[in-house]
Amino acid sequence: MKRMITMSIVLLILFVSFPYAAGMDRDLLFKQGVSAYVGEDYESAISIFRQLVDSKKISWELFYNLGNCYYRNGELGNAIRYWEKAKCLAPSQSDINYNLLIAEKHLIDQVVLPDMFPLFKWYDQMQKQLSLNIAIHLIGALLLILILILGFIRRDSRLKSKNHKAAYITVLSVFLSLILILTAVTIDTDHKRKNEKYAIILERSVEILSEPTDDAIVLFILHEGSKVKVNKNIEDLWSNISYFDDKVGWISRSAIGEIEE
Amino acid sequence: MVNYKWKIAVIIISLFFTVMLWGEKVTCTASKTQFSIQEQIQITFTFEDIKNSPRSVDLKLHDTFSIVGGPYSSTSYSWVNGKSTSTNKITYDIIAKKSGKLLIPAYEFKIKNQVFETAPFTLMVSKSAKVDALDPTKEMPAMFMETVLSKNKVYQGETFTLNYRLFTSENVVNYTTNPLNTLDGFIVDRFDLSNSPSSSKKVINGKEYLIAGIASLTLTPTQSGEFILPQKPFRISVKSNGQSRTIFDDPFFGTNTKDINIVAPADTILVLPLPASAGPAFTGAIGEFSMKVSIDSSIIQENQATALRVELSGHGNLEHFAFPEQSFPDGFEVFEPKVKNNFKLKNNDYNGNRSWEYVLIASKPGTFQFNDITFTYFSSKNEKYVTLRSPIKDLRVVSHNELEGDYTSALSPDEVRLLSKDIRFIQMEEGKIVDLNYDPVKDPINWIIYYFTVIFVLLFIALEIIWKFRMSNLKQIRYKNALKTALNRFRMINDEQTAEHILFEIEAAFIEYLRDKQLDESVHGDIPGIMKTIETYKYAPGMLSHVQLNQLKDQALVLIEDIEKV
Repeated sequence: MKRMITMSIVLLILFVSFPYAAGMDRDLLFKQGVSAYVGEDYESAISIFRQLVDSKKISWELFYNLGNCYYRNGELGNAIRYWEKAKCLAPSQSDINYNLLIAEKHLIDQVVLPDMFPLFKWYDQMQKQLSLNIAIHLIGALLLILILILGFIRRDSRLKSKNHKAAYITVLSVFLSLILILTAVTIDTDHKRKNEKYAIILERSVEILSEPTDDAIVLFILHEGSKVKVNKNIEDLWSNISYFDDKVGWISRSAIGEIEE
Repeated sequence: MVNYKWKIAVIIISLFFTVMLWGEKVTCTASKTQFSIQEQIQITFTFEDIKNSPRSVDLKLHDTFSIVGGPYSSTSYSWVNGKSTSTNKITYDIIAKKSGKLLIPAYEFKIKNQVFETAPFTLMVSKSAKVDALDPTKEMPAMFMETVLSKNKVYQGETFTLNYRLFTSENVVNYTTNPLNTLDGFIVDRFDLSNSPSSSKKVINGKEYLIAGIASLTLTPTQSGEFILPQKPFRISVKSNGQSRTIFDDPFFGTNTKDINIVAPADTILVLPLPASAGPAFTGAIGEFSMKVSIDSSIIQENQATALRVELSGHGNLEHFAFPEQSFPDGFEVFEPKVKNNFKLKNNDYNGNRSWEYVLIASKPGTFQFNDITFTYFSSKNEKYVTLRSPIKDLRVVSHNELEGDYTSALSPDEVRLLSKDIRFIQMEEGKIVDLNYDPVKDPINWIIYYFTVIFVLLFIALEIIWKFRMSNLKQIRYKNALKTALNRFRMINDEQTAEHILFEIEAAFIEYLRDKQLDESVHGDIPGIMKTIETYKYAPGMLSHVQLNQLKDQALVLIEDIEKV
């Protein structure tokens, strides 16, 4: 009996301390990766950071560092891919956006798009900058504030018997508009995230074919780092991609790295 | 006999020519010989039986009269006893420029080697009377003008305004006048013909006039003395009345109007000379001013520039004076000040501010003391000179050597040159770690936040509904609870309480019961009795005993019981 109690306590301690110990290991590994990067051993740094990714636990800092390692190692495609991954988790992080901007300068496929209609541009920026987490928290916070303000107005109107209808309606409409816009953006962003897959060209130069066969006609050529939309995949061999919507073709899956796997 | 016949013929011919000569004459007449300074009169030259008479006359009346119309010429023929006579007339519209006895000189006309001369005559021109002093016995004109001075006496250099006011009983469509650009003894600051003047109504000697300030003239006198501000002719277009409608009445072709020449009368202004002993800081400023002096920095580097700004604010002749010369310490190169004007002509004066910016360049290091900046103006309100004085802080000029170590030249973010671009450094620590398949929408924390707020919203809505329901059923609730409330109040009464308090509680319980039940005194015959007893007790609270009050309480309870049974 005594032994069983001792065993149970040991098991309990192990059980409780395991995640903490795992966290300790992760922290240690992360620091090792940073050290390797600082020591300009980018291969080792990539290897260490990838180990952390393989543990199925991720963070934007991890993807960001991996992107930096690949960039320093001369792998622009992978660098952009991991920065894009980091951006999915923390869209408003200035370091990620800055590095992506630097990487864009090295792209061979430079496409200058016409200016968007201001409203669409604003919506696009909002989607890019606002993470789903923040959007949900904002909606919650706005709802809470709205209720508190309405409650305050209601209480005040009861006490003073004043007509607070105008204030009531104004606050209600402003907050509801904000909540509706945020909700719409959140739903749309989530929908896009789940239904639109993007990938980065990882090879120096790759031919986009008309059919998913090696002897198909070459439609156009893309270069490392270009971002494409993945429409569909045929097993692990071929991906149907579109480049800025109007150029569609087939590419070998090994030539691209998907941003969200 | 022959000689006799010849003599008769010569006499007849001589008589004929004499008669002929007697018929040829030129006269000059005026439509009025006595009139006021603002009145328009006609002067007419009549040429009788003179062929080839002139079509115009050089009046030479510029000093005394304004010619506002003409020459208008007309010719008429008449037959008297088989003899024809012709009359040519040349007429001018004139307006007197000044009052008094004004001479119309003799005019000489040479026509076909004959000389004709008109007789000189004088016209009596009276000063124009102000509107308020118009003679009530005289018939009032349909339209006249008045000049109103903003000040009757001004100082030399002091800006003032002359307003031209039109009094009209007719429908004015438009008005014009020639702008006045120069006037001897004055600077013409502005002549303004108002496009949309504000108007008012006034009854003068029984006649209603619409009064509008149609023009204004702002002047600044450059000399002292008494000056006549000359009359100003205006052409007023008025709508013609009583005329049949013609094609010209069509709006497309314009309205049927007639023009009336009218003159705003002359007026006099007394320009006083400025008092002596103004001081060197006076440069002609008249009005009311305040001064603000500022310097860019109290420490500057050698050979560096700094700016000294002097700003005068207020009202007066801001346009017409320069800032007095100021003395600056040696060691500075001072440039001509840059003047900035920010004033407007408003309420007969210039209002706003004027600034002078002196650029000073320090030529040697040291600490420099400045003299006070002084400015003198003449206060027309207080009729005396006022000197404004503003001190300036000492200015320290540092050498280049002294500057090193003490000061550093700062750069703006734009001035920082970017040498190259590179990616940013890696993150040293991890923040929030999430699962690889992390979905924010499925995050339990997010769901908790979401549901929590949704529950909160629903709770709020539910409370709102309940509250509204309660508000709508308030009377019903009170009706239901009336007995309970009354009994509770009665139960609270005990003998330890004062008589006054017990009476108050009984009254409150009873009256509130009746109110909640929505009953009046007619419902039960005993109600008025109890009410009367309560009222009576109220006037003698000191005389009340607990026994009496308990009886009252019992009566009230019995009554409530009776009502409840019903």
